Amino acid sequence: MTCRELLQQFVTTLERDEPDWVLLRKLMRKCGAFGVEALKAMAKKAVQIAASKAWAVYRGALIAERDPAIAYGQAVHFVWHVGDWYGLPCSVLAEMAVYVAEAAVKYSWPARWPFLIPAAVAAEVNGCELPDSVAEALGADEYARLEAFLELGEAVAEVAPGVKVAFVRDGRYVSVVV
Amino acid sequence: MSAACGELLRRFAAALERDVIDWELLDELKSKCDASLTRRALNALAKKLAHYFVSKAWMHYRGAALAGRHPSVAYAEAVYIVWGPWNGAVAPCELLADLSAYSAEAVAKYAWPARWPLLALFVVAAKEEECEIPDAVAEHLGSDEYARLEAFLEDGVGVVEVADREVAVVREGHYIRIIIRPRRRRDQI
Repeated sequence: MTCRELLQQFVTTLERDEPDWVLLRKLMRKCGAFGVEALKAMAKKAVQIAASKAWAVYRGALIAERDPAIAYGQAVHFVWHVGDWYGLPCSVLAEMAVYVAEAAVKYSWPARWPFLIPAAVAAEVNGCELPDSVAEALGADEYARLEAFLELGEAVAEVAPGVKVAFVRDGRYVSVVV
Repeated sequence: MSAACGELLRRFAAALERDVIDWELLDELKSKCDASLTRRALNALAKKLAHYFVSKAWMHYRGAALAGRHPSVAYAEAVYIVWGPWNGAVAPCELLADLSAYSAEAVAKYAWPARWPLLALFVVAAKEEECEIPDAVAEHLGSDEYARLEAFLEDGVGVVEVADREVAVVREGHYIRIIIRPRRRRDQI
């Protein structure tokens, strides 16, 4: 089987939510660029699953009439913990940030930019750049708020009238407080 | 220090900078290298942990204020975040000294309603275990705050006023906890 075929097979298993780890290892070991493509596909899937679960938690909490601030804070945490942001090389960090931005705009969140906080902070700390497509996906206003947060180290998202969720940064650490 | 042991220590410190505690490297240092190197590794670990938890506590306190929560509750929670990992733990004097000195150093970086309660757990543990509190604690806290910490050790209770409430730190032997109560009027004191 060629590397292209191996990659295709791996992507098919991902689509079924059953990633074939043996296949991934084989791709990584033998297929160079195809192995990297497989990793990217894996990362994209992980972000999509996290965002989908985050949305389900948030939406479900609203339907169950739970505190929207707690539900939103939990949803943001879900997506934040999808990767070891500081351990990623710049190229993968950039890809992951785009996936998060794309996943964030699929749902109707009170604010989208907080989902990008770990990617943006890790990019700044590691000296990487976020691709333009992150700003394009988020929209100018939300991207400006992300940049303002990076600069000031703190910001608030209003999730319902008078209900606020705060985001604070201290160097490489970030926190969400409800 | 052999080159191999120096390299182990360097790798341990590099992992710490990435927020990773490499326990295998620490074990290797302990089993193969001079005790002073293990001591240096533990010292670096204590510094990292102290700064990490104080940073988390500060973000919680600051974020809670931004989110419109009562600052007294946020402050008490922040104090618990700094105490949390060590509450009930028995530490040797050297580690306790490192933790208290580095925690004091980290606490001094931020604008708290009061600094001394964040250090209360370490000094209580030091007193109970008959360890010495390093001078660095007093240096970082400042003389006034250190005097309040000493008074707390002596009296078993200390109070910090935060907005319209009082955050009371209460000690009973080596147990320590926080109580939040409405601020008393002067004629009630």
